[in-house]
Amino acid sequence: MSDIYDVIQSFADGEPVDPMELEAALADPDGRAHLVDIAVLRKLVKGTTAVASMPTGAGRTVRHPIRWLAAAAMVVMSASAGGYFLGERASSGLGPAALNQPAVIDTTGSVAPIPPAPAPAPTKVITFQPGVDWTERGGY
Amino acid sequence: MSDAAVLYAAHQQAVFRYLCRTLGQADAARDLTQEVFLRVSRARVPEADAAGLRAWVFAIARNLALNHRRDGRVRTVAIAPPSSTPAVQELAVAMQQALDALQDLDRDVFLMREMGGLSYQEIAKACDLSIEAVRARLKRARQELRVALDGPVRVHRLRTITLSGDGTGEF
Repeated sequence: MSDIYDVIQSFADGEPVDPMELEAALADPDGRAHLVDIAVLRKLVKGTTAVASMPTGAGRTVRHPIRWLAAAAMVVMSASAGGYFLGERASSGLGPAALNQPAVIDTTGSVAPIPPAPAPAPTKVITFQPGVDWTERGGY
Repeated sequence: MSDAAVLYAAHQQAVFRYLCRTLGQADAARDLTQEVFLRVSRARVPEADAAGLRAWVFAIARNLALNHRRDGRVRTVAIAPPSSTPAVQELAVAMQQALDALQDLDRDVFLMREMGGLSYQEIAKACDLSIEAVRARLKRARQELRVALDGPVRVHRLRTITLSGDGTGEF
C-alpha cells in the first residue's frame, strides 16, 4: 500500500496510479489538501517567472560552427577574387578611363580590332615665339 | 532536418524554462540554452526513444547549469513579469528564495518536473537517479516549498487553479 501523498503526487504528475489507491487517497482530507497544494505550487512556480518562452526569430536554428566557418571562408574568397580581378584590370590598361570607350559588338563572328580612341581636342594652345623674354620681373 | 535540429525544435522551450528558473536570470538562461544545443549539435546523438533523448538533453542542461552555478556566475534574482503588481513581485522573490533554499538535486528534480514537464523516468535518467529517488526528492521539495510559501499558498487556495502538468508554463 503506497503512502497517500505518493499516490496523490503521482496522479498530479501524470504518472500511473492504482485506481483503488487513488480512491482511498482522495477519500482522505489530507490527500485532497495535498492535491490542492500541488496544484497551487505549480501555479505559483509558473506564474512568477517573467519569461514563459524563449524568443525565437523566424527560421532560427542551431548555430553550427561549420556554417560560420563556411560563411567566413566565402567572405575571404570573395574579397581575394575581387582584389585580384581589379588588379588585373588596372595592370592591363583597362582602368576606369577605358570604360568610357564605346563597346564594339561583333555580329559577324570575326575578331575585329578595337579602333584607338581619338585624342581630345585642345582647350588652350601655347606657342613658343623666339626672341620673347619670358623671365618674370618685379611689379608684374 | 538533422537530429540536433529536431531536438532543438522539440525541447528548446522546455530547456529554457527550466534554466530560467534554475538560474533565476533570463539572459543567462537564454545563453545557456544556446550552449546546450550547440553541444547537442556537436555530440553524437544517442540512439534512444523520445523520452531518452529528452532526458539526455536535460542532463546536458543540468550539467551546464551546475557548472554555471559552481563558477559563481549566478546570483539568482526574482524574475517577475515586468508588468506585474507589487504583490506578484513580492511573491516572485519569495518563490525564488524558497527554490534557492532547496538542495540542488531536489530543486533540479522539481524544476524538471514543473518547468520542463519531464516524467519521473526522464528525470531519473537525466539526474542519474532511481524512479523512487525522484519520487522522494520531489515529495521533499514540495513539502519544503509548501512550508516556505505557506502564506501565498493559502491565498491562492481561494483562487481558480488547474492541474495542468504538461510543463507549458500556462496556468
